[in-house]
Amino acid sequence: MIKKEKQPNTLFILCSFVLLFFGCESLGFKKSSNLQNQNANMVVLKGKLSLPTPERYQNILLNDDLIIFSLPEKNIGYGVFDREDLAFIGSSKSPYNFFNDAFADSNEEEEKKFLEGFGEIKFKLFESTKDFEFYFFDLGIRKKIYILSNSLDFVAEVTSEDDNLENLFRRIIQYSNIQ
Amino acid sequence: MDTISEQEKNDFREFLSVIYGKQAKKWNINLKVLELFGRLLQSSESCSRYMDWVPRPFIAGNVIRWASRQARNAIIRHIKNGGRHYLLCLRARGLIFKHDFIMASNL
Repeated sequence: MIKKEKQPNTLFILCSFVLLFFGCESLGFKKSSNLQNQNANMVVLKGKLSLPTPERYQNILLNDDLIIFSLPEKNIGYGVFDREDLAFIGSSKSPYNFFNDAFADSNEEEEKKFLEGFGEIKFKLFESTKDFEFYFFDLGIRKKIYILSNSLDFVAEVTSEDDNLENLFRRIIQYSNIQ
Repeated sequence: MDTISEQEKNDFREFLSVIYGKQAKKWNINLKVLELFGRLLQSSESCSRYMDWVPRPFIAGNVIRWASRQARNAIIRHIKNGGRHYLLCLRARGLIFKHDFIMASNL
């Protein structure tokens, strides 16, 4: 586990070295100076999508496919789905088109099977901006946020059992940007 | 609570790798992962008649009892013997659970 930094520059340098060694297209963490709130941290997914981190996280675990934020209540994971993920389930669509069509109740078999996997959706939110479409799903125990953009070759997912994930959803809508 | 052996953990990793690819072979198998595995199969009840293997109601203890070697081997045989429809259905449903599995395996 990577502990919350008391020396921000050291962690940033270490992460930069790791990312440089293993390739800069992976999930990465950096502090942003582009926000009105100068104290907000951001994560950059695949070098392209910048998302605000959860507030009050204690630790971060960087995995090949997921960034896991450790919080007192429940952990929160930030991950991506790319074209390779969709090819693995039998779809030739781009991630944007697959998720966009699936959430619009598509008749395509892979998309129907995917959406049926959500089970009962207790509550759903949708917001769109110039660059993004944001979806929030309350699936009972688990909550999910999806960030879609026609400018990206992947779809981002935020997943957690945190009952307050809707607050993070609002911050993501406000602060997400494409690098 | 029953514990599972290292061999059974390897069997689960093998099965999960069929759904998620070789990355799943590195996952740590714990109770949370087993619970997710059970939920994945329950959410896929329209995928195959083999859903009879999952006892109801689903509780944590049951996942170990149902996940007998006999049940797992039967499902793996079904997939390997050309159950492509079942496999793709599981994978499509599994996409929703992928990051949850990774989080659970890191507990």
